[in-house]
Amino acid sequence: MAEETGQKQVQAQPAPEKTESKKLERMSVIKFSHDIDIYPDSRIPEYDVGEVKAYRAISRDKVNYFALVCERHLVPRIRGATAYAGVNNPFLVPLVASGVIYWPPVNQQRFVLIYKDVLGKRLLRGNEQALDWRQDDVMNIVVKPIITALLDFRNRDFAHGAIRPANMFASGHTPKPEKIVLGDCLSVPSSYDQPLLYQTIERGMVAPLARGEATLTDDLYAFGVSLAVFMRSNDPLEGMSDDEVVRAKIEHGSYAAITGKERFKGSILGLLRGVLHDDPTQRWTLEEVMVWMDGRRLSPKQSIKEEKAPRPILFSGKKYFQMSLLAMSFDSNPPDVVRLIESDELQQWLIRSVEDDVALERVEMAIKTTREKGTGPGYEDRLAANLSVALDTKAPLCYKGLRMTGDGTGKMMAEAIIQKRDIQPFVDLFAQNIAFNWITVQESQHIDIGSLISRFDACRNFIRHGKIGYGIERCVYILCPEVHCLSEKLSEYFVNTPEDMINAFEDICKKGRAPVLFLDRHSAAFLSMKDAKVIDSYLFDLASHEEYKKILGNLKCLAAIQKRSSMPAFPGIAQAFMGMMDVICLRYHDRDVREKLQKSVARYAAEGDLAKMAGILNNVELLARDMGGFKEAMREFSTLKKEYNELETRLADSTSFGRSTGREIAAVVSSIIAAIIILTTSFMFFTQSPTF
Amino acid sequence: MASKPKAKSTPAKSAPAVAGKKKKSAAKGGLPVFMVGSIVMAAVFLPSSVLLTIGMMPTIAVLFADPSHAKTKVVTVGALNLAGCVPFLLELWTQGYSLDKSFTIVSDPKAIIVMYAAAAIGYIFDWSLSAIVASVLYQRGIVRQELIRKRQEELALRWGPEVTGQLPLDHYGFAVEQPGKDH
Repeated sequence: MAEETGQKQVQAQPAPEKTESKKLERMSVIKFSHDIDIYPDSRIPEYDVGEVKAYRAISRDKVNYFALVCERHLVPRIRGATAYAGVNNPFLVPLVASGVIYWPPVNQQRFVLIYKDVLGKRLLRGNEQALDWRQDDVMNIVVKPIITALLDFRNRDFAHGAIRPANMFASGHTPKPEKIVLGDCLSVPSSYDQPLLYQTIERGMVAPLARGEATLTDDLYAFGVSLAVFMRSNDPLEGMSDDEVVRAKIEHGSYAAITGKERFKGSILGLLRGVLHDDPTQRWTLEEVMVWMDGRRLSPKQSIKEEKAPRPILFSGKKYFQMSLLAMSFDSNPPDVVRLIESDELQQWLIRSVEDDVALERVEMAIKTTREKGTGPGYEDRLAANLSVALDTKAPLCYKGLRMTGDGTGKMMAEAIIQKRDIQPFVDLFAQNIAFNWITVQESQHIDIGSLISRFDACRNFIRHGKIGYGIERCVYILCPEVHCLSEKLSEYFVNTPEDMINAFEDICKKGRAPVLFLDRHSAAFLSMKDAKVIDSYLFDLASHEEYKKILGNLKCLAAIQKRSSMPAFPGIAQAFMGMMDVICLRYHDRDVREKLQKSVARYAAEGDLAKMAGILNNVELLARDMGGFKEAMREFSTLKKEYNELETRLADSTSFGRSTGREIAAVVSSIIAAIIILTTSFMFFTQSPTF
Repeated sequence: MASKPKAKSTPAKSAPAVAGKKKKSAAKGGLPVFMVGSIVMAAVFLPSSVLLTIGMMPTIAVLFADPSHAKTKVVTVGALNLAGCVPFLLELWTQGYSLDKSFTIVSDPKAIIVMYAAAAIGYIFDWSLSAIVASVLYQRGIVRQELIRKRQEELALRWGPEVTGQLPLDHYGFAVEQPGKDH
């Protein structure tokens, strides 16, 4: 459901023209909430954020909004949206609401961000990367507003991640605007759409999707690059590829690479040098920027460029003088990495040319740990990955063409799963300890090493475990808590909570497309991460090979969600379970019990009460009674069978059957009669009866 | 090694055998004593013995003719035969207990008819009653079989074919291969 997040301070925009409003009336409308309508036929391309499209939205009281409809494979910053909505700054586009809606053009649910339309036009369009603004204008129009926004972000423990001139908007037609507004930063993963120029060297080496959450220091860097772009008159990096831009930053330092031969004068030079420092520990903090804003002039330290070795090392046909550049190239040619190691060339280069004993120690450790996992298939790629981070501890996690920060791994995995790409490299990352080796050499203060170590360790265990609720699927949700459930069965839905999931299943059932079983590996892993209490007790049942246990596990899990969240009836799901009830009832031996169960369950199914259905079917006492009764019946059957067989044998000879008993009876009768006769005779004889 | 338990088990096995032999020898020893006792008694009460020997001839005949172990036919015939002999035995005991009197009685056809007729009634009893009882029991057996079959059908209907014990069952008592689960 859409959650309302108010940004009431922003002035309401005038209603559209009458003709336009008539035109809009004819268009199809999607109700976001009670008072906001989204027009899927009315696009606003100016506000698009890369692949994320913007659409016109209007409230009941005729205030103009725009809606960003997020793409499924680009996990939006849902947690960030809450923090962002709490920021009240006139230089930020106000987030009015966010939530999930059904998006008819693709017949899927999508996450939507509704912003108040206060943007205007982009400051930078096309490939323009040098605006040649005056320093005073930059100070007044850009620096002050952005600093206030950054201060607000710091107070909310939030980072924008998309500060760049192309994401700054201004209304009016003058070349230099009076006021700018920062655009969206929530509709795509943090910094996904941010060009490489605005990324620090470390984040620049990483795939856009896997940059992880930006930090305030990353925002300050992007802010610095933005200032340089506003002020510089030409672009020294024009025509360079992304890889070349990173190499230029490594070789010359960010400030020199971005400003080129441009010579800035005045106080802003210190700010630029401070925020563009390549060492995150030396880069200016917001406090230092504030000190600078107050007029005190700090002198930033000179960027320390990585030393070049006197002699190069030849890798993949190219000469390398710096360890970081060499490390960056390793994943391009893993077989050549093996050659470097087998020939001892890399170690000799480190000893004789680079003279870095610490790096040598890391390299030798990397070789050792890689060989511990064997030198069979995959050895080359593992060696390249482990050596890359051993040579350059700031290097991203590089493996089989993937380049990720630890924090960004989850979103990269989620995207790979949604796009149905091979996820084996991600499995290898954890199973082969590559991710763990990477994190153990990290020194950056901006990486939460403790959290990553525990999460990577958990992932390694999940993959080793492998059963439903664990495996690589669980890794996705532990590494990317914001991602929606990636189950194939829920591909049309944007499921972010257990409640969303059960509602989606109910909708599926009502449409007559009830699946054979509701929970699969993804939904089990998702639930286990979101609310372990509703599923962890039933994972054993879900992993069972016995069909009735799986069905019962599904029912108990969904019933637990219904009960825990005090949700209404789910007649659709209940009816779907009724279709599977035969399998469960057949686990009771007693036909009478089965019939009674069927009737009781059918009654609760009609009410949509999953909890009661599960309660009846999960009756351990009844099951024990049934088992006891069955064993007693088996014993009775066996006794009867024995008796029948004995009778059968005896009855086979009808001439002798019962003869002995008959003779015994005859003997008794005869004896009794004889006794009577003898006694009577004796009595009569001794009483001198006339008979004698 | 293996021979030791065998050696040990030999006296253990032989103990009951020895006991059995002792019982048999005791039984064998008891019979002559009984026979001698009977002969002595018969000699002492010779008139009664003559009368009973001749009067109980049908019973003696049945004793040898009845192959059954329980000898119930002997009891049936013997009891009534004895009842037929008793009036004449009383007559012997009260009207001159002598061998002559004994011969006089047994030579009287009326006495012989009475004694043998009683034995004949015993024969009839044995034949008719055993036949009637056997027939009743046979019919009851047939009825019982039918009841067992019905009860087994009821059990199988309520608890499934697993209850017959003819199917391989899993830990929970269900057929490992479940042919015809719906029934």
